[in-house]
Amino acid sequence: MNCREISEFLMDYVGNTLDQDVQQTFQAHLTQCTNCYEYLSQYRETIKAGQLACHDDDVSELPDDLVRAVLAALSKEPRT
Amino acid sequence: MTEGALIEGLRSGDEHVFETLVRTYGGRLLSVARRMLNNEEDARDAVQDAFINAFRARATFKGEAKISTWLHSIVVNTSLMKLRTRKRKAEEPIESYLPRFLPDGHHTQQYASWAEPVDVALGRKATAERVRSAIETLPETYRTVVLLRDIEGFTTAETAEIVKTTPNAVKIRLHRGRLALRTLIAPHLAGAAT
Ligand SMILES: [Zn+2]
Repeated sequence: MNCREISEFLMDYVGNTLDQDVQQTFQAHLTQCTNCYEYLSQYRETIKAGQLACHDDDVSELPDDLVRAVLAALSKEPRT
Repeated sequence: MTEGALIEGLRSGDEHVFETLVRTYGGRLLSVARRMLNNEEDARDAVQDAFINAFRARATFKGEAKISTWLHSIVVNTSLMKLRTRKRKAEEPIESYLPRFLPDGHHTQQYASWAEPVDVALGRKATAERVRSAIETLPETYRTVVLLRDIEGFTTAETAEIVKTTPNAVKIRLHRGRLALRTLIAPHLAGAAT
């Protein structure tokens, strides 16, 4: 397996869905190739960075005017 | 109010229960819609549409899923609907953000560890902001799948159903989206604190 092929298997490796023989070949490459080893770790960190950045920006409450707008819209809905 | 009481009230169309739902889950739904739409006005519309659609579909809520999960899927769908009706500009190809390789299969560049663990780096508002705008930069097809899988926590099968494609296409888009995101955020994480 070369570095290009390694990069195609990153998602399955991280997700633990590689066939055992492919996983062994993958790991064997990583022990010899610092570049792929570092790239894998950045791939993992990227997923985590996205999650942290997005959830850091979460709001817990709707602005009051939007609550009122939603409730007003709901009150116009037929009840049956 | 317990989940059971909420479900009961939801099915019967109880107004107070809907108000509780709007106040309890609205903030989270707005966060989801903002991420997907990157536009405050559209996000607010999507949240409103989501609650209206939820109200209209209240009889079909089975109670097998949690209410929060059910509302989550609804706001994702109303947001996607908004995205689809927007005037589309031609999508930028993702290739320029993918890693490059030499003809012999080696990487064209050297990679080194980032300066700090991401949880430390992302503790800084400015860095978190840069990562969010990197996600915004992703071409839409990829961004949506990255958001649904990695941020909103839907499975591959659920994502495929939501974006109306095959699980295999979801996997390809997710992988490329992550590769592209790595390229986009690396400059902000490689060096020392900024
Ligand atoms: Zn390699």
